Amino acid sequence: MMKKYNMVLPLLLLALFLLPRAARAGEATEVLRADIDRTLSVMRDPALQGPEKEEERNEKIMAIVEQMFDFEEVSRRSLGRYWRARSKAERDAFVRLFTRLLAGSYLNRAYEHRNAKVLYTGEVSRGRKVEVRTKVLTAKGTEVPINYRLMKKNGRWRAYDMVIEGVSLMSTYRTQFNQKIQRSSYEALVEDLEQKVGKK
Amino acid sequence: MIRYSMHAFLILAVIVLLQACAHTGPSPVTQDGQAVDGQADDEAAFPDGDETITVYDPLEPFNRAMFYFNDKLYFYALKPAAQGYSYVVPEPARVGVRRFFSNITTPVRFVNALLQFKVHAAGTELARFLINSWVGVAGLMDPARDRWQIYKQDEDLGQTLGVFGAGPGIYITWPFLGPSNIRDTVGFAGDLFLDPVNYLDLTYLEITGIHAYDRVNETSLDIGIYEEIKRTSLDPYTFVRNAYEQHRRSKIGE
Repeated sequence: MMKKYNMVLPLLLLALFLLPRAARAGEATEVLRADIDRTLSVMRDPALQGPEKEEERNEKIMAIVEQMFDFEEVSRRSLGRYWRARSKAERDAFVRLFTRLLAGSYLNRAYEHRNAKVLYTGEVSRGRKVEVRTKVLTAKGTEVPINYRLMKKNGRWRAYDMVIEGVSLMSTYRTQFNQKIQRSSYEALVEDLEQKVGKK
Repeated sequence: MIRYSMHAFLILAVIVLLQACAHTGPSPVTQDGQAVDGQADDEAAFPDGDETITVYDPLEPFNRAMFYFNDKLYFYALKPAAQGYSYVVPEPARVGVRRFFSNITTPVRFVNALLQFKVHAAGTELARFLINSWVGVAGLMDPARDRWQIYKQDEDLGQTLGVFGAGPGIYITWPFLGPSNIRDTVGFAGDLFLDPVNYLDLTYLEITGIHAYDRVNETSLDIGIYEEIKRTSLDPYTFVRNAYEQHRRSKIGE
């Protein structure tokens, strides 16, 4: 009996030392949380409300979002095997175009939900990639699970995919891009995207 | 209503069983690859593996026609109705209505959680129902979530069938109801039996009216989402098909 107790105490101490490490949220979560908090504080800034401030607001948000997301990685993954065939100039043009398309749509949606509460529910890592899981409690009575997939590049964690309600954005775009290139051509895809961005 | 859906349910149950038998082999892929959504691109795939989505869509011409119909239905009927309604009813009240309908359909989530042996999820749903029906004034508010951090467990019969190994079967776009597949259609029909609204002593038309009202209320809170999808996708039909399949897979895998 006594012997057992002798074992328990060191184990307990060991557990206490290990506990803070295990309970601490991952590095990727912390980086993402900081980016999201900064984005939300810009969106909630009383000096930046209303449609007439939209441009100024979006500019500030984009400055954060460009750090938060790795748009080159996003574009590369969305084009899949067709990325390799493109020249450097074509790739750069594509990244700019696709970034505009994504920003144009998701900034407004995010702004609508600026008063939502974001819960960080976990982090799963696989090799160099990490998935940070969040649950967004909207003011409209719904809960939306949004997971961010991040990779560490040049010393910073940046997102390359967003999984909203189980739907990977990059996967949906890859499907459509593949279809377009297969049925017509890369040039036709770019033309379509330009048209989409131009319409606003 | 109940007898009506009973027939539909039995017919669909037979179809899903046939589908389940037919789908024990590898996933179907059409010869020209047109129904293949997403490529097996391993350098692009997170090892979670939900990136390669294959949707079996032999009814594509029919489905696209229904997609077109639903698109028009949205812009010419549902959206104007929802806009008029939201002009009269303020948002907090509409959120209350959304919560009320969500609360009364607790049996759907509770029973399906049990069918999947998710005892904790079933208990959570029961707790939410009791708290929200009482403290939350007949479910108009959600104190279970807002005060006690007890979150909704989204379960339905389509997911239950999926958990027990039923494949999605062919992809179907229903008029009025939108994207689905054989499995989820059977699930939808089965879940009608767990929706208390369908047991009200009302005519078929009146019950349909209640469901339509729920739909208009939901739409009023989600205006802009479908527009955004159309605006940012190259082919909205393909986007919805792919997103629907990914969404259901993740629900089943939860």
